[in-house]
Amino acid sequence: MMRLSAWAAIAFGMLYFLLPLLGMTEFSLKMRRGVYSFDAYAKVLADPRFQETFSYSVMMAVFTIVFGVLLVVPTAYWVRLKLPRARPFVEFVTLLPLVIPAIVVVFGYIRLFNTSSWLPLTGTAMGTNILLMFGYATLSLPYMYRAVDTGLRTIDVTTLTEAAQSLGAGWVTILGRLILPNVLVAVLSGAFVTLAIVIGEFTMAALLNRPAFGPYMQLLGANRAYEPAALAVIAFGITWACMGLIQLVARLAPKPATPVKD
Amino acid sequence: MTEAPYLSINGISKSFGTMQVVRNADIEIGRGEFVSFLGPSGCGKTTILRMVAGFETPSAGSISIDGRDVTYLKPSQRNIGMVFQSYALFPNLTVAGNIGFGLRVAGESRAGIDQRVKEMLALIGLPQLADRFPWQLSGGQQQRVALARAIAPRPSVLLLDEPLSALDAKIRVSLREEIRAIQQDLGITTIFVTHDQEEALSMSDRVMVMNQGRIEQIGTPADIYNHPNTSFVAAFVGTLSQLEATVTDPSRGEAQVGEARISGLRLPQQAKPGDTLRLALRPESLRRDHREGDQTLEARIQSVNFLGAVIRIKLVIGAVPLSLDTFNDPTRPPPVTGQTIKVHFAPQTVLALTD
Repeated sequence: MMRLSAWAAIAFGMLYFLLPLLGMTEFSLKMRRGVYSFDAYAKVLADPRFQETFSYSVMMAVFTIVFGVLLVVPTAYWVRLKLPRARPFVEFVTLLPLVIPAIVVVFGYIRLFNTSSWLPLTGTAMGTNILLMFGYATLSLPYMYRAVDTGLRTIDVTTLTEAAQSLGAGWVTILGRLILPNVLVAVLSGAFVTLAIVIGEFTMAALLNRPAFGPYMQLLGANRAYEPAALAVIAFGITWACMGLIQLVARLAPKPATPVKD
Repeated sequence: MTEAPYLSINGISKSFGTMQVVRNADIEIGRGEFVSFLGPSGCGKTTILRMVAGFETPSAGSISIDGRDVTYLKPSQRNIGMVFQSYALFPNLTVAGNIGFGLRVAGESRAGIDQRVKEMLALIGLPQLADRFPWQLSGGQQQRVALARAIAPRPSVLLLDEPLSALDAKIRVSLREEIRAIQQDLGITTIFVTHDQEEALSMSDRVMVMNQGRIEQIGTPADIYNHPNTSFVAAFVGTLSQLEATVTDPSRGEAQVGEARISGLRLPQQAKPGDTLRLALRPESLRRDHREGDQTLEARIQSVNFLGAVIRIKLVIGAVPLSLDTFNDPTRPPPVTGQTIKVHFAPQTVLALTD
């Protein structure tokens, strides 16, 4: 009886998530009257704005990931190594982007870094791009920090650091050659989540007036019938491909050095 | 030690907040010497080791290696090799990568690193495992690799922080012999931290016994075992039975133990008639057979533990427990619990403890 109800719950959950997806996918294939076709996908993919906004967002995602890794890995490492008591505070700070709406963050940015401020980042396209990257890094901080922190939990950070130090290694060597390779899977998990966030983000990109994929999806959704559904399916495909990559990379990760039985 | 000390620990203390974990510790270690820091958990032995390694800074005192003050140097600047209890091999590197890590950091050539890694693998007897990752090795193999990694960059001092504690009993015995042989072969100055007295006694040139942050005694293993300076050392190193005694005639080394009067004891010089002290006996000092000059006590057998080559007999004299170790003799019947027997000992083997 228990088993039956468990399966029923799983079936209900799957229907709840899959039916809208199936419906949307089916709708995206109905652009040509009476038959299924990929016309909507062809239109979307052929649209120069799609290519422009998608490549812009991918590029922004890459920069955000690099910046996020450079910010989060040393921070999480240092907190674990030297400031374990500060961990709850740091975790709280990294969770703030979940409770502070993106619109508040971006308005704060605009107010702080507008053309009449001491650091007029919004005055140039490059400056605004940098600002947008900071915004994306902030949005992805809760996920990136947690992923890296979980990765660090699987290794004995203190002893490995001390072992490396006794062998003459400095901080850069320790971080670059030992810590980062050992939390690479965690970093990649965070990176793929960051990619998914950046690809779909609307508020910041729209308010900073940058040609990102999120505003393009919104624009298309407001003016077309079938193309937005095709775009949504493409976006889902990208996200799921990222999830698959996380799983694939996890298999290649260095294993913890738990000894085999003597 | 006649030549100048290679490693000097001069009056170091260490406090964490209000808790002082090391109190004014002094020890000088000669070049190529193997010294064990022995003591119970929390006695401060690992803290001293960590101060030598540079992972902790002393609250007071100084540390010098080969005449160079290293007290405030970073760990990476001290040229020290360290082996950890948890092996601490780098999971992302192969055995060869782990052993060559220190050399790579030091900027040695690839050929030089390869050559040294080969030498180290041969030294630890694992030449076939160069390409394995740490998770593919047993605990004993991992610790051998950790040792090779520590000594590959030719450190001035080798620090071993309870390296055998996480291993099975058999591996522990064989590995401690290997470590000692490698240490003697290379002539490397070594500090070995352990709470296992057998390890400390069997491997070391000298042993430093610690208790509650203080050094209780420094000496050769035989000194520490046979002539403990304090009751803590006597009780901590080896098994000890203690009897309350009252000094009756110090000139004859005589004291009263219960009903029995024992003479020929090595009493403290300041002992006076009527002083109370504790007499301590090692299990192997008590015998069932009588020899000339022996003192004799009557005791009841409380339990008999057969340990293979040795039989440990728990005795009681009144309410005072005693232990007696005797070799197993298949031709003699084993002692019987509840039986009253005579036990004998040479008075010179009795330790008189005053503190």
